[in-house]
Amino acid sequence: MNMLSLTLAQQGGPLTRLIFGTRGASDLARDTDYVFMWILWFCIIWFVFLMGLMTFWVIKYRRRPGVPMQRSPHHNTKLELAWTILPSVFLGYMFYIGLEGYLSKLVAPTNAETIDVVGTKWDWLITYDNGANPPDKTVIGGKPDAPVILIPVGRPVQFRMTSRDVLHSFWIPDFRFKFDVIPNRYTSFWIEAEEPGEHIIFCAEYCGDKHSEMLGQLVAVPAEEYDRLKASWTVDLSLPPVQLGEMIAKNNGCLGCHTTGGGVSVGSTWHNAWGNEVPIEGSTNIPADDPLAWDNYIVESITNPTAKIHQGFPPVMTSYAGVFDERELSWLVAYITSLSEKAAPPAQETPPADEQAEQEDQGEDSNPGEQ
Amino acid sequence: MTTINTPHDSGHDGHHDEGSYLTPVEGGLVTNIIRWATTIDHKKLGMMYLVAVLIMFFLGGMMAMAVRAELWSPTRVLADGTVTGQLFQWGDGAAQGYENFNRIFTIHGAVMVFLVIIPGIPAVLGNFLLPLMLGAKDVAFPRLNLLSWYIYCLGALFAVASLIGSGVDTGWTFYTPYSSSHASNEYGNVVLMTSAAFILGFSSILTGLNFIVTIHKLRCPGMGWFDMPLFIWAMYATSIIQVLATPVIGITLALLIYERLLHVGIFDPSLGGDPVLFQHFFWFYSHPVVYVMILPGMGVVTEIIAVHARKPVFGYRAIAFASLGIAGVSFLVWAHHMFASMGELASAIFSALTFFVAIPTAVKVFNWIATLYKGSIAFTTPMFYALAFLFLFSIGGLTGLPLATLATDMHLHDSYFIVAHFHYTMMGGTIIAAIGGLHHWWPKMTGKMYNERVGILGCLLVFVGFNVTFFTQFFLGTQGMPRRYASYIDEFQLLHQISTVGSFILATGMFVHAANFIHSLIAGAKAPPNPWGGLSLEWNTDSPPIEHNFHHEPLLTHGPYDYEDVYPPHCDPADYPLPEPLPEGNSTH
Repeated sequence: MNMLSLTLAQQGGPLTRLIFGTRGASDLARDTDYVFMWILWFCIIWFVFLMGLMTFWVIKYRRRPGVPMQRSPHHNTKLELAWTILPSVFLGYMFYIGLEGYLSKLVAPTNAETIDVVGTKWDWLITYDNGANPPDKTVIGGKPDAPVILIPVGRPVQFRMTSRDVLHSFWIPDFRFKFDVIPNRYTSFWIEAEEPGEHIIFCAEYCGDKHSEMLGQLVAVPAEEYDRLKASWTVDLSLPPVQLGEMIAKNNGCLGCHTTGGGVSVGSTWHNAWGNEVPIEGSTNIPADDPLAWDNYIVESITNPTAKIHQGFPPVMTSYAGVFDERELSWLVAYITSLSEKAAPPAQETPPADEQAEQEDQGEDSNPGEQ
Repeated sequence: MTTINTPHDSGHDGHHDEGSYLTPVEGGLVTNIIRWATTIDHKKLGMMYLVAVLIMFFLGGMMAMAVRAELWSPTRVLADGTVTGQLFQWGDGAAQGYENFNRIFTIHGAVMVFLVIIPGIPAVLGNFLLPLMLGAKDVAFPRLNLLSWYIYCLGALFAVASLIGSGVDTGWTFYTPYSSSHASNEYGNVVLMTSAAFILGFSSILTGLNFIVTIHKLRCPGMGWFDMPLFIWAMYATSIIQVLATPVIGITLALLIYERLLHVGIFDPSLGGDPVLFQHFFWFYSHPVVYVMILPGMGVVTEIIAVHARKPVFGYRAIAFASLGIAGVSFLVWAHHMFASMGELASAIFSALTFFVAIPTAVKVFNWIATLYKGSIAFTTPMFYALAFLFLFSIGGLTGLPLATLATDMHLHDSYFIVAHFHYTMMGGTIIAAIGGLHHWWPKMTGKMYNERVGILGCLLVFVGFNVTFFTQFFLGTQGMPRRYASYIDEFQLLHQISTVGSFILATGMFVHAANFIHSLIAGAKAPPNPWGGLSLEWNTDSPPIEHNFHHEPLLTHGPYDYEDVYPPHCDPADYPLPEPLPEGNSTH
């Protein structure tokens, strides 16, 4: 975009504010606003002209008694050619500025830092280039545990996105860009925040039940703070396996479908699950008090979820085979085991806040052991 | 309108031995029902389609109201405990989350697209008017016509069955892998709903084929291609798209059902398929079908403007070729629905092609407005609807520009901006044109006049309600509201509430029209054969037409829009509302 249009875009008049609600969060975002406003004024001029002409003629030539009919030409080749070619020129320019703005936001600069984004029903899982996952959650709209994604101010970051289940779409309205998140491929785009601030992230591609709660928050922080926090989130292997398992469960969206407090959700609860009998659809049940059978059942349910379907639950979980290595699987087993009263020693750590909330809405599900 | 004289009554009294197509036969109710159910009369089939489509329109409309009610507040409105919650409660899965809302908007979309807008104008007005406008006794294949009505009803039954089962929550686009592997298939609902669309496709194909052959072979003596009313040109372009594009959706949905039931990997990556492939297949049909929806509406508006402004259509050939041009280009722009899931080169190509389809559409709008110049414009309900169409469809078309432009589309894609845009084209275009057309041809179809003042009041309510509902949604979209959200962040509440209020005004307008039509059927004045002074052939027979359409085979002596030649020059059109009756055709076949 040339200098003049950039200057115009930077200003962003009151109409731009009214239309977009917020000021574009980067030069490229405001450039999109400029393209939009350019098209808008083109549309307004045509619309007012056409509707004005229509209204004027409808009133002037309304049917009145005593007014004779008038003849007029039935076509006019020059006029018709003019109104075909003239708009085409404008549309050509529109295509050009659109393509330019699109490519500039899609193709990342070579020095951009890659942030991995995995869409899963109904959460965004973030991994930084050092393997760290951002641990913070926040409340947005109806979602109590929306992920907080930190990015550095003044440095380009590229989102490398894929999905674990269905189609999603990663939309950051303040940056005026989105791209679909597709299960069998990576897609990407890049942004650069110019000042610290918070920006909402929506899932824009319909993905099922809680599509409207698939939200996130993008927080731009000064680069030094970003580097410090990112380094502090690398996994500390000295922690007990139960805690590591809990972290993995949270960071991979397991808790989107499985409660740890006994509440009903899409999948079975983990509360008091381990060591109790589980009815299996069309197969022998998982026996009670058989630790090895239970450990095998957990691992199988993660890597091949449809092999044994817990009666009463839909076979909707996607396979996590290849997502976790042996060590991580063992942490998950340790964590799920710790949630059962049958495990020795019984897990009596302070449950996290969202777990307490789930315990409250257990409702009629008085015997969570059944799950 | 009371001063209209009826030329037929003077000259053709001797031929009035044949009753109107609505005259009941002797033998009681059952005989009459069987007569209707087995009829091959295009007029009766048009009326049967009208009834079926209106029932589906009511169903889809009620779902729209439920969607707007739910969006009144950021949190749940149609909660489980309330009456509405009970009403929209299906199956066990709906006990949690937003599945109810997701099912309601899916039904709204699927019913409105597959059962109302696609078949609406072609099957109702097209069936009724096409042979009349061509001066034919019926369509080329009357039995096929009856079959396609039954196929439509079978499709509708499948759709309603999936609804009664437990609803479908995939959205009307059935995007994979959600629809093929994830959405709940309780009672086989997903399979039922996609089967419904599959079945309805056959109805579309048969109707389209029938119309193409009819237009080629059954034009009355003297009617060349450029003597046809432009509504026929629009139906011709529509039919070509229907015949060529519909098989693609049939195959695509069959593959989806195949994957759903037999787990053969076509679209689901976890089975080895590709989800974006489905989008290509789906839009390869569903984009051309956007023009199946809008072209007939354009045809209706062309007729209304010409008749109620008593003016030859400006640039007849431009409009006719624009219809065909739109039909052709419509096959080349499908992937503009997928800018957010394709590579740069494909996006660039499809963005450029999309701008091409804007040109013929713009040309049509210019032509319609130019037609008004020096006209004699009657302020009737159909004319107000045609003007409303020009207003709303212009907004719909112009807001397509930032969506064809790549930079802005990446922001607006899948937001409420899209929702507003396609409602301005599909509802502000097609449905508005259909209601206008229904008023325009109502006297011809039923033989009864409707109340003009009530009609104009209804039009005003619909116009105001529509704009309040959907104009706000443009702002919701630019400000970041994604579509298909059951809950939303608090910032959007005011705009959502304005939109919901508008939707109730809109619904009120629809009920005003319904009441007006019902009143017209019961107590409406008898309609003259040509209440508006139209020149196309359907106005040249009784209202309602006789069983075999015309007393004599019509012979064309003037074009459909030759108002300046047929009406005596420099006379007051209010005094001479009617053209000379056509000379009786001597069987010169």
